[in-house]
Amino acid sequence: MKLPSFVRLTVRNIRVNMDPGTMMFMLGLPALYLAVLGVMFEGLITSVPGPNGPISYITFLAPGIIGMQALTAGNIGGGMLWADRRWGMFEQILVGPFRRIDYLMGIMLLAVIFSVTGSTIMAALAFYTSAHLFVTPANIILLFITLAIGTTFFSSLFLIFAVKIKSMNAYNTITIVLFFFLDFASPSFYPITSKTPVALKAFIDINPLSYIVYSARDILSYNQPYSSLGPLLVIFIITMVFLGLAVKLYGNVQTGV
Amino acid sequence: MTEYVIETTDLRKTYPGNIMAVKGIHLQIKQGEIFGFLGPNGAGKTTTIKMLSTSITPTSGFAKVMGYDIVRDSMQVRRNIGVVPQDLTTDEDLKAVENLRMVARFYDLPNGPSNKKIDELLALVDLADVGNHYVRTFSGGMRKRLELIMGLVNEPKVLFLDEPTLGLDVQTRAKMWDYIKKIRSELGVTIILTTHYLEEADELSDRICIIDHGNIITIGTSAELKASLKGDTIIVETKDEESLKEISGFSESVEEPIINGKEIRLTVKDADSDLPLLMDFMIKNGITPMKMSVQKPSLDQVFLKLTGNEIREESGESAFKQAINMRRLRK
Repeated sequence: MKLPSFVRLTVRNIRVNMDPGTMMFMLGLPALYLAVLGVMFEGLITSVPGPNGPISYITFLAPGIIGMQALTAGNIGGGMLWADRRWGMFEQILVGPFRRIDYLMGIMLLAVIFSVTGSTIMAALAFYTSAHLFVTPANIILLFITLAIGTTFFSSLFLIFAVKIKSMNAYNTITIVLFFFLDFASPSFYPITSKTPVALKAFIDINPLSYIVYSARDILSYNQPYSSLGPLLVIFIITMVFLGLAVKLYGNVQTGV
Repeated sequence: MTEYVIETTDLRKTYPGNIMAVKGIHLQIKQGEIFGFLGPNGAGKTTTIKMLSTSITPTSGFAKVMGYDIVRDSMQVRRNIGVVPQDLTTDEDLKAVENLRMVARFYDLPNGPSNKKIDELLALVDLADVGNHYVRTFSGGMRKRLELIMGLVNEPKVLFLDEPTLGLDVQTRAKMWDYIKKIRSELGVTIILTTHYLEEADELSDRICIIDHGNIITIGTSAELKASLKGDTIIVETKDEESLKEISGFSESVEEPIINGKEIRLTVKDADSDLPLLMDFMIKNGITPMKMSVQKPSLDQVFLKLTGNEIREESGESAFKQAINMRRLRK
């Protein structure tokens, strides 16, 4: 059976990202967050308030870690363009039987596959660490949509960096700093309360990851799929803007860095 | 299809800022040829190759590769070509065969035949024993050999090699030349080569195209280009300058004698037959040479004559800047 060009590229992208470093980044680190932070804070934070009553910290944390998979996978997807440009592979691919759009779809699909796979593994690990998640067919579909949109947003964001940033040091520094802020200035690890500092709260409010986590938490921890639609709409709108920008910039990107 | 695998007519590329990288190139390259592009940095050779391999679109003009228009039928062109870039693009974390299989999947080649092809290609460049080794364990020369066959997995009719031996030691370079010749003779592939190494172009190319400032300066076989220098050079050094003036007229066949200090350079048609005549002349006239040597025409001399090295050195900074700008624009 003849595979579409973008699927062939996706297969290639998956294959080249199966190295231990990427796997550790995508699965090992969030698994450690879930296991170590979940277990450690479970003793300190006995419960977190929720719309249906208090939930355990690990139940609160799990959707945060799952939402973060969109950020991690988006970084891997967008980062591929930078690496392929840097090492000459982008040009090699473009003199092969591919169109530019195939390459773009290949990295977007890679990111979504990684995001969904990583989230599934994190959900399984969360179950193992006694999180109580509401897994129903409707919730699974809604979570998949949330992750797909969220991952597309972060892939677009990192794609823009990959197009614009020339130096490897600058790219690494920007992505690492951004990662830190997006991860920790979000409701992934802790609830936002009236005691949260105003500046931090303001950053959390403009952090796109927050909306992915809100949506994932509404679905998995609170079993309130309708409530997830609000944050999902926010992230959808932001994604459309950034995807449009990324596609426009990508269309003119030079093959080398 | 005509006998030519590549034909271009007035092919031009102008980058933003009205930088004319290629100013109207006419080329015809035959099936099975090794065609060498020579030129200084920023001359336009890589831009030409990138247009022919569909990596960048020409501003105007026309080109066909294997009978397909490089703009209109770019996907058909890509199915018929292989490109081996300067950069090492193989994935270090994969084995050699895995890298090759990945390329086979790019072209959706069936597993059975492509595995057989991969084995053959590994054997072609003497990498069969290390096909299952990780690329990170390879030496620079082995990686270059792997890059070479990565461009052959899809069985291209035309192979573009961009500086295939850049950064390799002399022994490895010589071995690479053998592999390139073997690829042509065993697979019948037409090879388009860009290189900075004149001896590489001389050794490998059936025809050489010298390109500079976006224009083709000359095209011909190595012998034809050398013959354009109109003969050999006899260099004589004497004790005094007076003797040099006598020597300059020793034969009517001497063209444009150049006196520099106590040295004279005589351009003659054939030094092998003219040297004994010169010796005889000097003995008869009591001229004692301090030093004598014969310089056969080399591609280096042709290159320098046609691209004007002296002028380039005088404006070295601007030439360097131009080369850097061109490289940036090409990317």
